[in-house]
Amino acid sequence: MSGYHGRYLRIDPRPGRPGCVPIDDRTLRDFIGGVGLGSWIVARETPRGVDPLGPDACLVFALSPLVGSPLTTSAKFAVVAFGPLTGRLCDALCSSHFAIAAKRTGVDAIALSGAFDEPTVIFVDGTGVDSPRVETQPAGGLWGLSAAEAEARIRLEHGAGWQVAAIGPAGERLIPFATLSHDGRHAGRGGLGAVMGSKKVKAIAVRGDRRTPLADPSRTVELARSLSARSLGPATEKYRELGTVANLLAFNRFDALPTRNFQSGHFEGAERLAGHDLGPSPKVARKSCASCTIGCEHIFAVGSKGARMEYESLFALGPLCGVDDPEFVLRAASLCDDLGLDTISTGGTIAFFMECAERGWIDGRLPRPDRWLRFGDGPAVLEAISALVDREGIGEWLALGSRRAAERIGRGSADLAPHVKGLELPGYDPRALHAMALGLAVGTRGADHNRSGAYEADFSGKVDRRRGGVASALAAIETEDRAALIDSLILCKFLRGVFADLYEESAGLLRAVTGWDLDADELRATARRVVNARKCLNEREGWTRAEDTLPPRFLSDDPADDATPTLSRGRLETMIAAYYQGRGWDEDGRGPVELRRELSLDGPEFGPGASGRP
Amino acid sequence: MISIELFGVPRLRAGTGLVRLEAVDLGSALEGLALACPGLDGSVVLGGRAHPAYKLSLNGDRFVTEPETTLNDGDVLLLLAADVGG
Repeated sequence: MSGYHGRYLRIDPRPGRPGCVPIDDRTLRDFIGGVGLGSWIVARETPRGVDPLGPDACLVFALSPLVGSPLTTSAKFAVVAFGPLTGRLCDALCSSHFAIAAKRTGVDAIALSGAFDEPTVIFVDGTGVDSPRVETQPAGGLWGLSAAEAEARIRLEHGAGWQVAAIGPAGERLIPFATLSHDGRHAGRGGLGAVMGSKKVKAIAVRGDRRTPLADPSRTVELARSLSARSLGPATEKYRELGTVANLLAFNRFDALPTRNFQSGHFEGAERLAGHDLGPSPKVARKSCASCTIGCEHIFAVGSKGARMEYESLFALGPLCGVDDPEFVLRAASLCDDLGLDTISTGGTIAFFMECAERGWIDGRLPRPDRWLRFGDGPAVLEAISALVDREGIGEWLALGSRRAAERIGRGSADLAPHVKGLELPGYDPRALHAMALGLAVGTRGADHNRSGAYEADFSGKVDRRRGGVASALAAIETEDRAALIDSLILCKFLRGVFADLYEESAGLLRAVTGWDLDADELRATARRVVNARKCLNEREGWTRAEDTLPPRFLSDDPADDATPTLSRGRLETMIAAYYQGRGWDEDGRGPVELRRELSLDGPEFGPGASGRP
Repeated sequence: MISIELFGVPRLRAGTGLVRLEAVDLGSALEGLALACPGLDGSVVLGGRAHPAYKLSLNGDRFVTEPETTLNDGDVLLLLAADVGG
């Protein structure tokens, strides 16, 4: 078998559960790898009605046929489980050497279920054996450390040949937006770090020497050279030269920069924050993931250390909280990295609390009710981050995320909580970007910019970004499908601009690596299958049509206005209906049995389908 | 007089975020921009067009590509990476 080992490793401390599980060739071809294969394994390994933080929940680390190949940006892994923020299927990507080492253990995925009695480190060793050995050790003094510190200590004590994915204190304390990370990069969204923490697993260390053959090595190298050459061209220049922080001023100009808990799409402090490449903080380095030729990570000085900064962290801890001092935003992002927190959900939740405080809804519960936790207060953002991980005082509420916190606060605050399905919105104001508004509303992961790149349609010039309609819905479907394919291959989305035809080129890559005789049409069907698989799993876990919407704050009854971007309820509903129709779903947003059968999603693990609903 | 606002790499290369010049259409505006900011010539601006890796919005309302696109006094062109977002 080329490109694959044809099995996944099940790790479970409960008796009789662990071992390697074969994956047949048809399944691999149907789901490829990454989020696709991970969703399939979660479907099989997770019983219906699961508590995402309970022992029956399964956390999957899924690799792909391209991992270990010479293709640029291919050193990636997906982490998939039902998420504690949403209760819906959650997947997040992470990069670098862990992916390569995990695949060399001799499996295509690792599925972790059950829960250990005490904090544990898992070692998966595929060196010199046919099936990987699994050993565990008490985490001991590693518990409480940041993921980066734990990773460094494990490699120091056990050898640099181990690659480690770990959680920080937020994951240990089951913060529902805790991350899981490797080499400073986070599988960031949806709280997958808390899922690992609920199993009392501090870290998974992997190493091995098992390689999968390439079906056509010379063709693979030829394609890799071509892709690498294009990855160094103008289509990725933004990422190399400036990183994603370059988005901030452009989004501000288009009234799409979420500001003060989405009260506005324009931040008057944007120029101070990002006008000169993050103001007074000097850039000290640029980094790349393993096997990457782009090098998008820009490291800035924060005190005596360096901090990564991405647009999403910058918007969430800056404009969304009304903070325009780059020093505080960098410190807040660095603190989130150390604690293992998703910066988007952290900033979104804090900004929501800031608005509640300014409205006088929570002052009685604040440690310093006199003007603390107000928009623009950089030190308060830092304090709030620490408080939520410690779960002290107001931190206990902050640690809930905005949706559940609004249930505690009441007073109509739910209308202002910036989430979809419980996941806080990324840095795209839906009132100014209507295709993206739809993408956020219908996203299976919740409000999400990585699984729906519908903002590309808004900025394409092919649809009216402030008057969304059927064309916006069709464009949103297309970007979702493309993302599903890229995230299953797995390649970096920053490559998307270098492909003349993503499906044709991806088919060529898979032909060279796996030997499968597949074409672009098959991959289009695969992308649809992956999107539908995630939707089926959400339906299985109780999804209803009412979840596909935006918070009331974003929806007005006013007609479109060129001066102030608005989005009417009717327009969003029209786009959602067109989206469902374009997907072949019924008016309630459910896929018919015929569609499930066509996509090979009619097995019991994906739920009963529309005809079987109660 | 029209304005061209630069974002991201164009701003970095030009060393400024704003250029004002006289132009009656998109082509002449971009030629004027290349003259005013030589760092953009040949990379971001190719003759009277933007390189495919970049795009132009007219007044934030619509994206424009054709050199013949008429500009009016007071118009604002926004020059940014085609790969918006990320």
